[in-house]
Amino acid sequence: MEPERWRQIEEVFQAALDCEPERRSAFLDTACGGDRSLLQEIESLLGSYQKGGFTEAPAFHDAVRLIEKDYSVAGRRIGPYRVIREIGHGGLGAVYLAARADQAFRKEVAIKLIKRGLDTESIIQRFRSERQILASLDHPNITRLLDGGTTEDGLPYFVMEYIQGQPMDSYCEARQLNTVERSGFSRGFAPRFNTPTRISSFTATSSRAMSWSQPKAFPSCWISASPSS
Amino acid sequence: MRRERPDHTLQTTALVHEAYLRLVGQRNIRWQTRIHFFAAAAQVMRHILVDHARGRRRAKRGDGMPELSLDEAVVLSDQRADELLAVNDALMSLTADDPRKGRVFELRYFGGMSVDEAAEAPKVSPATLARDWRMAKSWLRREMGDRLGDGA
Repeated sequence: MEPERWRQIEEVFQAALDCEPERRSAFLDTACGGDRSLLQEIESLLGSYQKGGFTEAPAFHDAVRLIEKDYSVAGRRIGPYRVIREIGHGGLGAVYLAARADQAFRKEVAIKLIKRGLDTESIIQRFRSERQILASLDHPNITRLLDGGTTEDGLPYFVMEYIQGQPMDSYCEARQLNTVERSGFSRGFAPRFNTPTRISSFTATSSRAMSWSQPKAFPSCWISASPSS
Repeated sequence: MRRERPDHTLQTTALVHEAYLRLVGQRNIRWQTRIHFFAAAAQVMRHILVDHARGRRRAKRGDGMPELSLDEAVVLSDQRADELLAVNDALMSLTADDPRKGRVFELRYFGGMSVDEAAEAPKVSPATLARDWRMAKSWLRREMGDRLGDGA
């Protein structure tokens, strides 16, 4: 809209609201002169001012409910699983410990879910490729992908076997590994590996890799505390 | 942070979520800090809602993944999600024509602030802000009625 027109509309609109209701119509005739479209514009604005509408329920409360929901996940159901607690979270999402909700059998799993508000197309793409990487890897030292899906509000998730592991940095800390040893570890575990050499160096540690995000986003990945062989 | 890669913006968003929850209800913080924080938070709230509403649309459309739903109460109805997306679009038009009114609306509607609280942010008197607000909401209500066709 032309700035001049916008100013004119506002001036007349505000003045009309300021004057006594019984004088309003006469005021508008004078103020708009013969400008029919200005008169129509003001009348429709006055109409929506008086009628009320969506602005009476601020969206603020919806946003607070959404945030709270993200922070109170225990008991939440995702597919056939019920969330028990959060295991950990990174910049993009969180991993939850969950169990079968239908009592069909006992099975604890880890579910990784994107954090709400971060579900942009590029992040979702990245999340999907992590899921695809995991789906295509089949090895005793790699956590298996069990299932995956999309929540009703469009957030992708995947279900992995649950392993009681410990983060790589605390693993290294506990063993007082020096920087060189640590970086060797990181290379072995860095999820970007795609050569046989790197996979074997990773296998040799007898631990299980659990997070497959890009190393630059998740500098520490997770490994199992107890050697599996 | 601004000059670093986009991930950092996302992490900042996540931090603001958390900080916001802690700050809501704490009223004895110095105004200058508080008001800037709330202005940023109002933007974050808007983004959260819009992202969520878009997610809902995406889920409805289907993305080739098996659709497993959460069996909990839905926070936003489909109608509300569509309404929020329409508000967001209409608010962008308003902001293009009149940035101050756009900001005022964002603070009140997405940030949940009162007229007096919101007046601190664009540094205008509460009286001016009240006028901005009544113009902004009348314009947006009419616009929404046109967009959604139900006199919202």
